[in-house]
Amino acid sequence: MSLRISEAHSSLKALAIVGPKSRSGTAPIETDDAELVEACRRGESKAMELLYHRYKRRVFGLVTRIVGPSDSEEVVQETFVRIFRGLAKFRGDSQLSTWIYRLAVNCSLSHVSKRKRRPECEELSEHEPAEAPPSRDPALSKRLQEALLTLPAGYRAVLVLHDIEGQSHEQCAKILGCRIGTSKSQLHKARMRMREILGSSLRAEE
Amino acid sequence: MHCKEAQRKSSAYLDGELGDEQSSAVRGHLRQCQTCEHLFEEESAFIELASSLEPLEPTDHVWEQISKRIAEEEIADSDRPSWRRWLTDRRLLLGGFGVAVCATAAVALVVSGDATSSQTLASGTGEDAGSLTASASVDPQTVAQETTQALSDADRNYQETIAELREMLEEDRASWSAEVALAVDAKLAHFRRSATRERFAVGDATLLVASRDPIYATYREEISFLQSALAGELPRVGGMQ
Repeated sequence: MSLRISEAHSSLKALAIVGPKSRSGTAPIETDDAELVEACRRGESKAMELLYHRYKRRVFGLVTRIVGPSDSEEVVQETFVRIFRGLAKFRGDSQLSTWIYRLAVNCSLSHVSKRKRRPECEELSEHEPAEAPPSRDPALSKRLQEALLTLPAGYRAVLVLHDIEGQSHEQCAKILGCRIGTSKSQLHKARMRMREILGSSLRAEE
Repeated sequence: MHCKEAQRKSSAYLDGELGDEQSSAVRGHLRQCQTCEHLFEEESAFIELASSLEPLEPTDHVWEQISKRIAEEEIADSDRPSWRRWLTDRRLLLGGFGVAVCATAAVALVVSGDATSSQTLASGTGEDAGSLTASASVDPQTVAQETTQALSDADRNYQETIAELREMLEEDRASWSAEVALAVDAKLAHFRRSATRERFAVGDATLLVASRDPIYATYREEISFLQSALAGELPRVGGMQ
């Protein structure tokens, strides 16, 4: 997956600082995750931006579906700040994507947990960030998102990772820090709940 | 196969995780049971719908906000005292450092207002404590005040070390699973309760230095736990909650 750095926003120039030079003299555009991580650790701002663009959709999709659209950008910001501040601790024991997913899930669950302690913030905000049109029935997709938010956070996380993001149970278990069997049973329970909520409209969709 | 068993296996069947024979048995049941067939159709439709959702795109200003926050945090790093940056870079040593401070500053403090009430500060901390060796000629009231001060310094030093380690550990929290986070929180809550209970039992006014040893033991145990957690030795947990 590659990215055109030219997409960078000019307003960021004000925030850019001189960083250590990479061996090639510029931030890598076509590079693997390991090189990108090294460049980010050296504080190369273009590498950081590249890493952000490489993972932003996956992180944003995951976060939005766990915390809901009203708080998603705030949680995505928090997630990426933790990613960049924590890259020094990333030892490469797991794939970078797994580590990033794990941070995103934990930031999301932590946010949901804090929000529960602030009941006045429980209701979803009226304004929602623009969402790409779903490929099928938009009304049903919207109901799916609403139904998702009624699930317990643990069910929500595994369902989003497996059924929406397409992660295997092995990956889900690594990201969530649980056994593969636990991931499977949680997913089954989550699907049952979704089926109960969405009910016959799912069959009508067929 | 009965309905209950078929429904229990629905996700595994639809995800292709069942063996041929079990899959065949499920299909056989669905041919005979319309209720289960409908439930399977609904679950299948849900899976298809979930996988067909388009990727979501954050708005353009998110990266600007992230860059801004990273810049702010780096500025905050530069504003930190150099000793703290030094400690943070050597984060794995900090717990040991805290214990070392406590140990090297430990003094044998003889409180001898009268010959029958001498006590030894076996595990105190703080720079002042070293100067507190008192002789029989010292005014008992002065010694009592200095002892109180030394005990207060020892408590403060332990608590500051613990607070520093806890703060550093918080930075790691996002990389833990929910279960590990719960286990760590439970352990830290246990240390807090123990220290509170022991402080209450001893009372603030006492000059019986040895009676404070359980408190210091709890502090040292917590420092040791925090040090291990920072080194990646987190509590072992079973499965996801």
